[in-house]
Amino acid sequence: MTDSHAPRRRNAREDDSTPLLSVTDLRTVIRTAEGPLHAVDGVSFSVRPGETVCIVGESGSGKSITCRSVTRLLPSAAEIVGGELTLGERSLRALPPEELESIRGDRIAHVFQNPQRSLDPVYPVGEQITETIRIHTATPSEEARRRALTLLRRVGIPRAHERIDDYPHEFSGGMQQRVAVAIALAGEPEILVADEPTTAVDATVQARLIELFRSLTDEGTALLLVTHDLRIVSALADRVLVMYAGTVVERGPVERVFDRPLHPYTQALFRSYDATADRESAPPRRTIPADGCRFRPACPHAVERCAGGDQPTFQGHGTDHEVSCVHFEPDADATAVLADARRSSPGRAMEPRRDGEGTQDEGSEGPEGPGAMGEPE
Amino acid sequence: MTGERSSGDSGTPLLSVRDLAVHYPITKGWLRREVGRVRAVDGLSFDVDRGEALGLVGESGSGKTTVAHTLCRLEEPTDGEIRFRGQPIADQSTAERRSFTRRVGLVVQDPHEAFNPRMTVGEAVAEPLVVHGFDDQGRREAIVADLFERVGLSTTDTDRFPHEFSGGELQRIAIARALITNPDLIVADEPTSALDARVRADILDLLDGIRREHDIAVVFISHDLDVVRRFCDRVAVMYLGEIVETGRTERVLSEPKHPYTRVLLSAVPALDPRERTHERPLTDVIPDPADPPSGCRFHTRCPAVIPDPDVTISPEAWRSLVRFRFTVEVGEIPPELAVDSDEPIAHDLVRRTFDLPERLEDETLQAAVDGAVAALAAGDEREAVERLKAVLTTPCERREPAVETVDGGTVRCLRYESDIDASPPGR
Repeated sequence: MTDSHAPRRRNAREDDSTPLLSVTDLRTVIRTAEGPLHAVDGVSFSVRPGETVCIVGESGSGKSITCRSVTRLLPSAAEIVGGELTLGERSLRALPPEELESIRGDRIAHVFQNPQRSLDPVYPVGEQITETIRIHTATPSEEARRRALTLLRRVGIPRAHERIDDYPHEFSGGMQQRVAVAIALAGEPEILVADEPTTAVDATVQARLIELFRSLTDEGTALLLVTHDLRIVSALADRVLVMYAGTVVERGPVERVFDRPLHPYTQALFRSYDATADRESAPPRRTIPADGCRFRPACPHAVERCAGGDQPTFQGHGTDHEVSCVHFEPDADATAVLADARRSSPGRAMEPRRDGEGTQDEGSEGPEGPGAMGEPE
Repeated sequence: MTGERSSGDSGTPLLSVRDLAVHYPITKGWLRREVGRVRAVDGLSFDVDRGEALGLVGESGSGKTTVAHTLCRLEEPTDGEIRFRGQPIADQSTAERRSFTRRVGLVVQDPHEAFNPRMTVGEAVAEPLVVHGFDDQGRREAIVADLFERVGLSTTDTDRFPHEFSGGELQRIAIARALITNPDLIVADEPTSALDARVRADILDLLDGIRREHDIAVVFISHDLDVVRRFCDRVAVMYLGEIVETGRTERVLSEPKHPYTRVLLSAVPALDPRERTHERPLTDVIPDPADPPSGCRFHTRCPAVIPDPDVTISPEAWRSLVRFRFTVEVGEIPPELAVDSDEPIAHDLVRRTFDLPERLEDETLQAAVDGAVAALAAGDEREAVERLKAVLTTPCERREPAVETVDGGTVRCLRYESDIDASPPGR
């Protein structure tokens, strides 16, 4: 509706501002009958106030486990085995469960794909919102009810004053998701962690939720959003993390990643949105390796050095845009992969480039020096 | 969309649907007295030719899944007629009915729910053959093995159980099962909604290859316009049980005629992060299919709703005033106005919140809007609606649009009717 929601352009100084949430080298393991599964295997990122960070990946990429690890909302078979999680100055990793409980909802709130996860079927929705408000702040009940009504209106529940005492089952799926968002907002969280929040809702409802998320981040709430849908990323993200098999393979500002997807996996993902692209079909059922580059069995650019050891170190490619791929390492030649970047950019076919940021993809200069590599954030 | 496309060899479309209606009674009390009807599908007509892929798109409550079930005879229509190869399916004898169900395959959204967990996938795929009395087990196994290869799986997979497969693999198996009876028509209900993008693309390629190779028609039900763009020859857009627009897929998706199609397309975020605008409907509330709006069912949300000839204000003023009217009417009161009932809201706040024009040329209109603002400020939504309803009148509310033929397709919108003085909505 308005033009004011272009991705934030963050300059270097802004990036120095203290992150609200920092995740460093997170490792989460799920115990299975076939042995431990490294669901999250060395993931690092940070989210600043008012910023939207999107984690994009397919099922099994570890994106959901990553964001559930933040407040340890994990299935019983899962366990965080390494890394650091910090909210402001506080380490979340060492926090006892009671303290974590008070942070959940108060400072960090979750929204899930299935709204029923957040809704209690035996209480009216208004009561669930007022309860959250009153847990987090000492609010008189009249005032809490008024705030609940305002929240229901804000998320777009029509005739909110008539519906505040209705039970969750009396709402449609799309309406339930809006109520779930209202409950999440009731504690006035600093960061909203949303896992596929619009996957089960209709297109026009999704557009409405996107507007709501934008207005929240405009007011300074941080948003960590997990999705498999590139269109949602395009609509909301300031920065993007692309995950594959428990690892981050590429990260950067949304415009740069969409203009020039660098990792062969990101490229494959982007091409699957283009009906006219000559796609290589992903042959079904492959074992995903647990070392080196996890994507190598399906990668058209795989070479011997992709195997073994840790995932390839992150290499910078322009401001803030980094990729974990051996072809971008200083002694390698990224020409072939960069050529694919050009034809994989989703907007590329339609319009000319607008940001005028150089011609290095043809020049085979590769990464922009060792200064840009190394540990994130 | 009658006669919109010349059809197959004999001139008879493979599937022909006329005035299809499926209503569900709403009952009350232990006597189950009927107090109303959900008009899930309300007067649908369309044809599907041999080998053609028709997309049915729409949001919740549009009735698209009910159409799928009716085509597969999982539900019986309340009214109207479905003809398959020219013959009404309601008149089928038992034997004809059995042959019909063999000619129509169904692929559903969640492949995990489509299979019996205790049956091997090979048995599951062969089941329709057993049901249709195909007794030669050796031949059955050979057919199943051949189908598994055609859908990109290994013949050794037939002895495994559903839980051993990924969602994408199971959807391949579901396609194999739909193909085993050599159908002429596949009804696919959101077949790729539960799949990741790369797998989705693979499944669409597979389904597309198979339908072209065997000249199978597909009725493809989806809310995902990317998928429809990729797969369908023609598309029918549904809203609250009715088809509002049909046409060739490229045409409908690049030059939508109906305002609802435009809103639906615009709600899909662009793949360019710099483009973050969209055309909003007047209101977000999808009305109750049990009580659809009068006239054009989309009028409560339509950004192109037509003013009556005696309403003489600028299009911008009209748009902001009808938005005001329908927003209050459906109860989407913005949070800014949700204050304590004891203290009245400033009229100015109401005006700013709804972005109302400062002054209107028309005195009557001005008085009505002032009255509505005052009523809303005092918390009387009903009075506000009554005031606005009386002056912001539209033919869209009173008159049901007819189906007009436009650009090789159909559209159901008063803007395309010859006696209505309104130019088609354009960019």
